[in-house]
Amino acid sequence: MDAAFRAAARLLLAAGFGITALIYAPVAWLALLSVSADPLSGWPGGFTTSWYASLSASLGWRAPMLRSLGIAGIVAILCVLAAVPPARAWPRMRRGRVSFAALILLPLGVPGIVLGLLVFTTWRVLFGVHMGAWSLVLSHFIWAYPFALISMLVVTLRTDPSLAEAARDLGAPPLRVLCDIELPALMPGIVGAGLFGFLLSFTELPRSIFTGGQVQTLPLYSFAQASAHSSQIKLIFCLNTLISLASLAAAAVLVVLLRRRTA
Amino acid sequence: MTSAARLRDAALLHAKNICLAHGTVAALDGVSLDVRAGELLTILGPSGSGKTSLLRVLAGLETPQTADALTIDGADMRAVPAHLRPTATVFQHYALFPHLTAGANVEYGLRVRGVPRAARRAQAERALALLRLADKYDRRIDQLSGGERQRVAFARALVTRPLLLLLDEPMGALDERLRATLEADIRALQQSQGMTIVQVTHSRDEALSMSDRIVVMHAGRVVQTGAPEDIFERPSTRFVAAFMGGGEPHRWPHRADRPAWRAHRLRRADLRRPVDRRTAAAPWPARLPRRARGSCPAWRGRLRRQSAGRRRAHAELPRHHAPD
Repeated sequence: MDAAFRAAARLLLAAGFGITALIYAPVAWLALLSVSADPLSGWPGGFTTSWYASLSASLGWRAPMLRSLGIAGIVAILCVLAAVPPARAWPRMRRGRVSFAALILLPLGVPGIVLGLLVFTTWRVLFGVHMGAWSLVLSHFIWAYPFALISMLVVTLRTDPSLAEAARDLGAPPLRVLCDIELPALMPGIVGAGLFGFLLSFTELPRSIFTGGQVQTLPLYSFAQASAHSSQIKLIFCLNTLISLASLAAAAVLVVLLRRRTA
Repeated sequence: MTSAARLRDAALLHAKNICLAHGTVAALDGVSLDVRAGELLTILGPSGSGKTSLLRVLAGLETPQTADALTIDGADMRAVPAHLRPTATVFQHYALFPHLTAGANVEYGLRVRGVPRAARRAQAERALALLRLADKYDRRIDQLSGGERQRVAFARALVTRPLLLLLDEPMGALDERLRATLEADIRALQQSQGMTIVQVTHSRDEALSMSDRIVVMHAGRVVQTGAPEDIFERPSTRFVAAFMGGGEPHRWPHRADRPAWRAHRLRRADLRRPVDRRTAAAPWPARLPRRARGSCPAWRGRLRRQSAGRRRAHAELPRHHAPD
């Protein structure tokens, strides 16, 4: 019995490593291809840094990159601002909690393409929203918001409401309670909500196809280059490798920061 | 001058006819309370009797639907928000700020009052030393034991020099030995600093051993007030007698179980009867006052709809021993 239990534990551990490998192996493979002579062959070999050199020489990807960063930043801020109030209110709601959560989370079931189409047809026609940077922000926000809210809810549900009461009781006016006690307690959720908003927007493609109008984001640019079989396509390997490494590093830094805060 | 009026004059806290409902559930049903300066008053009652609600009303964390009076040191508190009241609370689970050190927790009340850094550090260290925690200033909260956390919470409440210290089940989470030392601590602090303390507990032993006076609550009402000996030896109702004296915990029988149901009804009626009209020198009506429902006009209609639920709350009574 005990031996079987230990074998099962070992099996699960192996499966865990296997799943982790599934996540990281493609990134490593991408990095290998980006320094290969012929990335499009799919096999690494004949290692060279020439693609990186031509990437730094080429200019086409810079404007979409900056645009994507900007849009993602705005979406991240919107997600945090819009997720904090309802997440703070949720544990204090006396009734309707489940229906409220369902109402917010159900849009996750709408496929990305459909949502993009909805924004494109409905918002444009009914509300006169011009397709461009702000319609991208809107569609990315609609996409990322449920994730941001979940991340906030996890934290607000865990936070002891008596902490804020204790601060009030000790003489802190409402604004100080918020700044001194509640926001530090909510910080993991805020970082999570911002991270979801940023990353989901930065990598978003299906909705952007409809809502981008003339504006090109980095995923739209990569997609266009790849499907056009242009000469730029080899640079996409380098670009995506750099982006993956940068976002991994950013996530790692955030995890370390959060650990220090909450430990 | 009647004795009641004299008490009110000497009272640090005077509360009259406080009614509080959470949704449709009545938590406080016309509660009046007087606390003398310098005394340790214990509010005793089973869970759900409204004692914590009362404490929260005093601290300003809950707003009662009606209150004929609520004064602390002569000042009307009814419109004063929690952060401006001269009270400090030690919460049941301490509610220490996890992102601050023990010292910063103690200092917080001074920080929001704008006390300069050096002065508040000195005061916090003095308060910690008073509670035998002098070397714990820089500790994080999760590095402290339960008893130490409890004493940090005390120091945090004491350092603002409140007129009234409110303790919500201060011993709730502590083991027997720690309880004894903390009881002594609280008593010593109260006597050396001349503090006025209102504490809430469901433990009869705690209430008897350390209080100047005891207020017994039940189903949102005060059923008896008096010195520990009086409450113990001359309980005014069967409920108080059962609560103070032990006995079998009462169970609510199934409706279909006819004999048990009938016995239960009889017993419930019995619980409300006075023990003995000659020995029970209670200032309160011996029978739980039905008319008290009328003292909270604001929620009269609302509670009538809830009467079944309320009756159940009454019947659950003699669940006296702390579920430790």
